Amino acid sequence: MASSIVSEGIVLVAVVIAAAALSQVFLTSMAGLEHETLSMSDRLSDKMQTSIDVISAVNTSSTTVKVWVKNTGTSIIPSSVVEMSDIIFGRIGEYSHVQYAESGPGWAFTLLNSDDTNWQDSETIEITITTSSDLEGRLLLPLQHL
Amino acid sequence: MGQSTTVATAFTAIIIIAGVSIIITSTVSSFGVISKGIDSMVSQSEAVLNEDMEFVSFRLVDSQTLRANVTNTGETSIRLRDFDKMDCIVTYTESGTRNSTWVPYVQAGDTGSYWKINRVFFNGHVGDEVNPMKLTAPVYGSWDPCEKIEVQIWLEASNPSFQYVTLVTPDAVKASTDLIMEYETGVATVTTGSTYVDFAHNLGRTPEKVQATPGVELVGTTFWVSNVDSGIFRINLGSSLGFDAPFYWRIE
Repeated sequence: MASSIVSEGIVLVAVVIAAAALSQVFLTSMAGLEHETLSMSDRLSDKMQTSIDVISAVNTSSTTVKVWVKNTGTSIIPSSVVEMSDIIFGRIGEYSHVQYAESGPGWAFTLLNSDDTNWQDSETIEITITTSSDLEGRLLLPLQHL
Repeated sequence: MGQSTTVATAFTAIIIIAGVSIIITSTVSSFGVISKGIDSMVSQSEAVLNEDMEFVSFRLVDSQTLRANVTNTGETSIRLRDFDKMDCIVTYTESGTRNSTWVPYVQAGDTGSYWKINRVFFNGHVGDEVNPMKLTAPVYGSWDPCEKIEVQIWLEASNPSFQYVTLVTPDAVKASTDLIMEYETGVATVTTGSTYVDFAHNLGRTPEKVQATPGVELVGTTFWVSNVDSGIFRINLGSSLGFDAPFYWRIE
């Protein structure tokens, strides 16, 4: 009888340890899944709330183009993030990626109607694209993407 | 069934309940986040669908000042305090060079290039009834549907020639005008004793058609038009008259 109780006790302890280990693994996995789900929905929401519109573009010289872009979403985009934007620009059939450059060939921007260094909703930036060669023929507006 | 089985079953149940609750919580949270994004997209789309404006007319006050009438043809109101989120892009020529510049909204209109609202009209009368605008500090009110605003644009440039104006609402709805007058009308008077009158027009190009009709009987003389160019035209008389001779004209 006594040996039976001892055996039962040992099995009970073993079951508790196994269940605890299993629950630890399971709950950790669930927490990871939750984190990934929230992270994904956050990114999705960011994409949905981020929207920009090219409102006008003109070539001001043979090597310079000015483009005005408005933040039509609700995301607040810091200047440091704007600098990481990609601008694809060029003559039809000869598009290329333009590098951000505060001076010289490349693109730079100025926040126009903003009180701070963030590009907020309804605010506009003026992008100046400078090329190293003359722009002839028809120009294409930048294919913008953040 | 021993105690170990009972404990194991209880643990399993607790783990399953905890896992399911985590999944439900994260799903609900992600739905909340995504619905916020959808709300944002919907409100933006609604604004774009319902917002509209149209240039009605314009006139040059002096070489640096342009006044344009713009009507809110949409179904939304734009608050005066949001006008600084609007864009005004002006294309002009200066000393033969074409320039484009973004002009800031400055209702006080006292520094550099600016644009501001001069007046608001509703039903052809000055002033508005709904959310009336106060255009001096502190500004308030709204530009409501069917209201027309007179926008004044002043450029800090040397004798600029306005070519094109684009106005953009905070929701990126655009209206633009090429600032080309299709026609112009007026009255020019050949004064007593004169045989011609030069009249400066604002077409900005040489008119293709010039029509002039005398407002009085021209006894014993004839009239014709000459010296037509991008700035003026001349109405001539065969001989001078002893009275003022007004001419109603139209150029296009």
